[in-house]
Amino acid sequence: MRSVGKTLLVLCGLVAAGMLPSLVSADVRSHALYARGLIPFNNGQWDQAYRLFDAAVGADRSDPEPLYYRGLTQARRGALAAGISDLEQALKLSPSLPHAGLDLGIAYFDAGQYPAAKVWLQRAYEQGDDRFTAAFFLGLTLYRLGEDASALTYLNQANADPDLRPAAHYYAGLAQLHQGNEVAARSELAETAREQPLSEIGKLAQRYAGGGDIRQPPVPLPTARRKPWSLSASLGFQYDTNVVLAPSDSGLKTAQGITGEDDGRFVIGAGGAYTLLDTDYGTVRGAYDFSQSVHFRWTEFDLQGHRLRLDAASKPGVVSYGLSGVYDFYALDYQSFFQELLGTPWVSVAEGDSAATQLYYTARGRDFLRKPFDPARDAIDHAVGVRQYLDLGSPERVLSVGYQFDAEATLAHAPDDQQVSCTSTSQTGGCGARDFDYKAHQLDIGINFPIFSLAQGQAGYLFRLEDYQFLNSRANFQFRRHDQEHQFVVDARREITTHVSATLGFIGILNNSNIPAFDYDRFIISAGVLVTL
Amino acid sequence: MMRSRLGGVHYLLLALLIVAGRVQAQSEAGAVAALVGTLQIQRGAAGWQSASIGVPVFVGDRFRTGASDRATLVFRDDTVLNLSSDTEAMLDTQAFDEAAGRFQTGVKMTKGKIRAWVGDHYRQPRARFEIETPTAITDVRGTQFIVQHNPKTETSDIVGIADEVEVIGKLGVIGSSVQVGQQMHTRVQKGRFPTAAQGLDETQFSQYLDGTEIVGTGRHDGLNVVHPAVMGRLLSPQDAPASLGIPGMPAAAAQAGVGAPELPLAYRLSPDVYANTQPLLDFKRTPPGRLPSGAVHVGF
Repeated sequence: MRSVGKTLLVLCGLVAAGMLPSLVSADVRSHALYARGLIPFNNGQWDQAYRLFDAAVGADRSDPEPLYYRGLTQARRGALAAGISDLEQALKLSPSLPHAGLDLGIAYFDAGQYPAAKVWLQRAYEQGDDRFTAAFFLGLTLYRLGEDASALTYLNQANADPDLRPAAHYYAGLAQLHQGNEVAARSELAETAREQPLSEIGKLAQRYAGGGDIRQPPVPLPTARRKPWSLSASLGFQYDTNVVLAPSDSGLKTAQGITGEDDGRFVIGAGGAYTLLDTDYGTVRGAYDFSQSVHFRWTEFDLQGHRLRLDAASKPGVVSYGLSGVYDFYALDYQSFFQELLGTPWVSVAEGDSAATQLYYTARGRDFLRKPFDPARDAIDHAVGVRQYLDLGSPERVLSVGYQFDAEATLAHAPDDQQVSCTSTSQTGGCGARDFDYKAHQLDIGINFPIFSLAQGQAGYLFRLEDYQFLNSRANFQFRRHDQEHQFVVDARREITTHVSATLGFIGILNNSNIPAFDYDRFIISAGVLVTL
Repeated sequence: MMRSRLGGVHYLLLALLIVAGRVQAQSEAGAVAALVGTLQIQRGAAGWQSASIGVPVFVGDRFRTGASDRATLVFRDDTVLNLSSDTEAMLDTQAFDEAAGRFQTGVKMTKGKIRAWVGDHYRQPRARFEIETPTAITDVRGTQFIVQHNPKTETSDIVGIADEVEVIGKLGVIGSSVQVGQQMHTRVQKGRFPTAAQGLDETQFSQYLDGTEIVGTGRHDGLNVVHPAVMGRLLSPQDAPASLGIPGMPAAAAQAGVGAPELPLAYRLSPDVYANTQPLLDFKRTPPGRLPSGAVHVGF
């Protein structure tokens, strides 16, 4: 019994003696494999480096450095999840492992896990571990999270590092743009263009270097980088030469008893939008807009508008597509006027380097809620259109030319297979609706342009030919109505502060009709203030 | 007879070893794995050359680092040497024959500090790894240790990091060796035997370790290096400002592609223009489909 115990003791001793060198040698072997792996790692031979680091980790799992370098290699190979796991493990073994926290933050950033990236990058920044680099990636992460103001703070700090400066300026520019600070954005992007003109971002930024305002598109870009919400409010004054659409024929106008058809009005507007869904494939964004005009004299033309809009759009690409739905409700003189529903599927295709074509179809159902247009103007309108965009050498100079055909079919008349008598002597209930049944061709041309770096301008001309399909009551049922409308529009917007802009506009409408009652001119000048958040 | 046969075998083995040694001497012994600052290598009669990571090292190569330099050498026998600043050393011998179980490495160091991770091969009975300074020879069998030599004071310090190392003085006479264990230290002054091994407290130990560590290649290895964001590449198409356009997609297309077609400009700028397109007053007076008759005064 005694000898058995002695033997066990010796065996234990041998095992222990065997174990100890084994542990030590594992460390040495691991270190050699790790050191050997550094050579392909330095040469960017990631697969070879990975094999050596992996073997080093296998030889000694308690050494943080091979784990750290295996993690770096994994991340370099694109295996971010495995890389993150290794970096986390290395940091557990050695919380003060230099640079590892920063690398973990960057790996999380590259993996799109921005909240986790924020935690580690914040930690690296606070520890002063390569502070400017930490500030740069923290700025990028916050920008991705939509925290633009905080992002700017860190990106501005990163500017102290010459290697980071061009990219820091670029992303600061984007953050400024998201905040609506167009002047500051242009300044930041100009720095990128100046410091790194040959890089990808430098070339993009350079496209703005020639001047002109950076303009956000009319519909917010469906991107995760934007903050998900936006708010706007506006107050404007408009002078309208013809609020009531009084005919140009003075005799007829007198006969209709219209005097003083011009008036001034205040127009207030408010709206908000929210990105409901944002994936790699596209976005869904909802918006609501309210408007109210208050006239000085023609108060029965005070118009209140409510617009609900839902846009589903693919991510921008060579081919983009989407579906837009709009519900409008208008009240005139604070009483229901009409409501309408619009659905528009669309597709845009890029052509070459400076052009794009957009095709769309719009179905619109409009329901008037009060006399005299209810039910005569209740109608379904089908429109198909094509629009060509041309880049005129810089992004803020875009020319667009569009054509649209639409047919409005009123609903209140009798079915087509039943006789509807619309003559001066015989009128039935459907005759009113027949006044508004038309087919129309519409051509328009528009251009966006900077105005001497002072403001962003847009101008447009629209020609619309409305060919009404039935004999018109205003022509004593003798002939059909044909309208030719010309619209001239010029608009300018100048940024006053970060969130406040001043607007100035002119609208001219010449509606030439073969029926004097519909022949009118209308000119509107407007000035206002726009606040955006 | 037996004795002479054995003697013949010995001579044959010796000759083979010499030939093998020469072959080994000409083959690559290891490579530079990490660098902080500059490592200079002198090979044969050539002058000192700056080395870079991955450069092979050969038997006979001399190495030196400057005041703020450090370097890591990794050898094919799994040995790793970290050369601290102001260090000069030479790879004097290396015989590495795994099949024959023959492992022999000799490093001569004239000044500075070397931290060594000695490979498992040197645990075998006939294997030998030595770092020789002007005053001491450190013989190890698979372990970690530090050798430091100060040419001014002509003293060598040997510190054990793991396992044990055997240190003997270079007296030209046979003297007793000193075993230096983990976190222990011995000093060998010129012409003297090594001092008895003594334990080091944490402060002393870390002082010896100081300057012997190199994390990674000693360069910038982090993920920020050549990161696309830092290199000025676009991380995502969404990082192009909306009207800047997207690579491969013209700005005009980007503009067109951001949403549904908009209403004509006049309608966008004025809801009043959009909603009122027919002479309301006239139709109020005479509803659509009715023939106008007479005049109605409208106004205020």
